[in-house]
Amino acid sequence: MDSVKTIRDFINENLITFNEDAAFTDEDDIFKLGFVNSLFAMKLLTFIENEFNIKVENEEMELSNFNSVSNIVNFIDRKTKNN
Amino acid sequence: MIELLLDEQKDKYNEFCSFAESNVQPYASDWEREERISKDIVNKCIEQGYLGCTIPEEFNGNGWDSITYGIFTEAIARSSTSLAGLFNVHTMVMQTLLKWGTEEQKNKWLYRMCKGEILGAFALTEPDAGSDIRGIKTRFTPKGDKIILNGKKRWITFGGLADIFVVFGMMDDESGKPVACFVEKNTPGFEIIPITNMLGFKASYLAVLEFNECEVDKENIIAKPGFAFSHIAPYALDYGRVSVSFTALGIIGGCLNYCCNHVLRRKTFNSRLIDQSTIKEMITKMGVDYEAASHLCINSCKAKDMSNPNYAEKVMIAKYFTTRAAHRHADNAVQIMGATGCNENHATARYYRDSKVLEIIEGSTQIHEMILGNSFTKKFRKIEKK
Repeated sequence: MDSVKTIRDFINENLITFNEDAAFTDEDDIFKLGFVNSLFAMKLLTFIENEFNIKVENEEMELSNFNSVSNIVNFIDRKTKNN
Repeated sequence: MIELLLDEQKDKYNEFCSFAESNVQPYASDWEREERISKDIVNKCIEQGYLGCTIPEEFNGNGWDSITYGIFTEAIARSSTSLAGLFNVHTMVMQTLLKWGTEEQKNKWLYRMCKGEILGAFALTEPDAGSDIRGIKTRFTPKGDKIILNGKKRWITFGGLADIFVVFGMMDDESGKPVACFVEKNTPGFEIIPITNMLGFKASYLAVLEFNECEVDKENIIAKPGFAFSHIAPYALDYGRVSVSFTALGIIGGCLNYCCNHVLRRKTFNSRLIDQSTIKEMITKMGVDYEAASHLCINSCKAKDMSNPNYAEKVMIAKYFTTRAAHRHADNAVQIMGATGCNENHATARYYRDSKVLEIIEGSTQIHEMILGNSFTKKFRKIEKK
């Protein structure tokens, strides 16, 4: 499965909105949309580390690495290339 | 619960129960009256090497998995929820160090915490900010290589005994980001004021912490500003909820022990209490909830140890179920024990008071309903085909 789909599916599973028409693009800031709860940020970090077998370092904790599908995929790509 | 454990965990559980029966249970009522656990019991826990809990052995820790930490808490909480609370907040601080701390921070505090040379406490709650931590007013003002803390924390468990605190606040700069840092006791400008006369957890050194132009090295900041509320606090609180869940489980287990002995011994109207249907119903519900809560607690720990992304929700489910059940059954335990259970010297009186507190701390029952209600609705709805 490609990483874009994996990330999108994970975010979709964790949206708290009941609106069936709720949609987000790969560029949308998922935190600003207000579709996720207070557990989501830590849950996303655990998911990324587990699913892609990477360790996110403190200095990499930037909202811009995790706030959209594209940014997450780019971050994972950078990490896996460096490993 | 014990049949859900691996052999090694069963051995540890028996060791923990034996330790608690000898060193905790005989003294717990005294500690409650004095509103402080004794230094002796802290020293005995240190001698046993228990303070290292879930931290890897390379840092002098015990390397316990979450289940072992949970069953340790269950065994201790049967005798003293206050002592279980010490391990709760100490572990939250150690886990914060382990997960987010720099090598320097770990070298400075983590090894010593594992050995019990210093104790930790978690300073999140404020007079006007509990469940909604966005209301936090403590300010961290940058000044050269220092930060200056101003603000007040309240209801800080073991605040009166701890040596090192994780303190949450907001950056007082253009970013206004949430931030957390380590603050040592005896830092100038940091005052600790004991709180007494609480309903439960009476021996847990509750305190107000006041920061007045308190100067701390910038190196004490945890990770980066911006992630204190979204990552640092939730990560620690997951451990807190494991502890609270197993504390509640210990209370239900303790209620069962006391009540089952009593209903076999006590006679009314020429028959034992257990022969009366209303008593049987109370005992049945207590036993069934103990079994159900055991499964929820153990399974949530398994998910946590496997880093299942859904572990936090599973821990919340366990906390929600077990704490509510503990309060119901502590209420019934006092009813079954009668006047004996109304006496402060009896454990069921303590269970009754402490179980209420468990429904409030580490996320109240209502906060759990706000999150879990939405989550279950999302999970179990059927999407209609258009």
